[in-house]
Amino acid sequence: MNVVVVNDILEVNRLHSSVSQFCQKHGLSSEIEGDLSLALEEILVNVIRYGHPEGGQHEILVWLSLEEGYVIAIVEDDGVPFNPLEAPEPDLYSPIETRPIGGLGIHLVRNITDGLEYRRNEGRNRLVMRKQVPRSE
Amino acid sequence: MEMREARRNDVLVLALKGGLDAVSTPCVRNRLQERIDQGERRFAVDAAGITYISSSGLALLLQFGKQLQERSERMVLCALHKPVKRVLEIAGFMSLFSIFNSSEEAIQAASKG
Repeated sequence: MNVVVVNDILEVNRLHSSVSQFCQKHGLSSEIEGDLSLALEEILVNVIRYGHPEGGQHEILVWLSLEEGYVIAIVEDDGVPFNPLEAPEPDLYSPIETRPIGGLGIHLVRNITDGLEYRRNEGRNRLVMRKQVPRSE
Repeated sequence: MEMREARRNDVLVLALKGGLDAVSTPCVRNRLQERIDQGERRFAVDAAGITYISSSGLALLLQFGKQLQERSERMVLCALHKPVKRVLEIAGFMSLFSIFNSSEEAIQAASKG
């Protein structure tokens, strides 16, 4: 499944609908659907909020496929270089008074996916996320 | 995102329904801020209808948790679905909020003291 979204936060709704359609089509569980929606929302929101400081409308490409027991979700954008694998670990332990707001999105993505690969090529970010599907699905 | 409000003694119970994501979070934020500005001090967020939460929803919880804590006021959560609880666990949020199974327990805890 291919989904082309633009850098507008409302596109997150369309992304969730597409993930839902994909999971229904392939008989994937609500757990897998929730994790895919979450991982893709976090990446997309990052690109939408920080990817294009110069402004203007930009397309973000999303591919979803099922290959050998894994859902493969690919996000490609022409925003500023951003490698999620290099994002710092957030503070998960301070009390509420000093706990920083933000920085949790990429941490969630790392924890709910089973593999991340990042490449910067010809001015584009390409992130490949893998999510293992339990055998019974 | 649907929001229902109910008052139980000095506690405002906010029942949310839907996904707490980057699109829906701003309207919940506005509503909560409005109630705080109107002088509400104690909140119980009934999450029985929340099926999904992303980092935008987490940021909202943290922002209001901090704001209320600073004023010695409080926000408690209840009835978290498993996937939502899991996200809170991964984010290290379980130690930041009082979390209850039922809204009754949450209301009691929020109104104490």
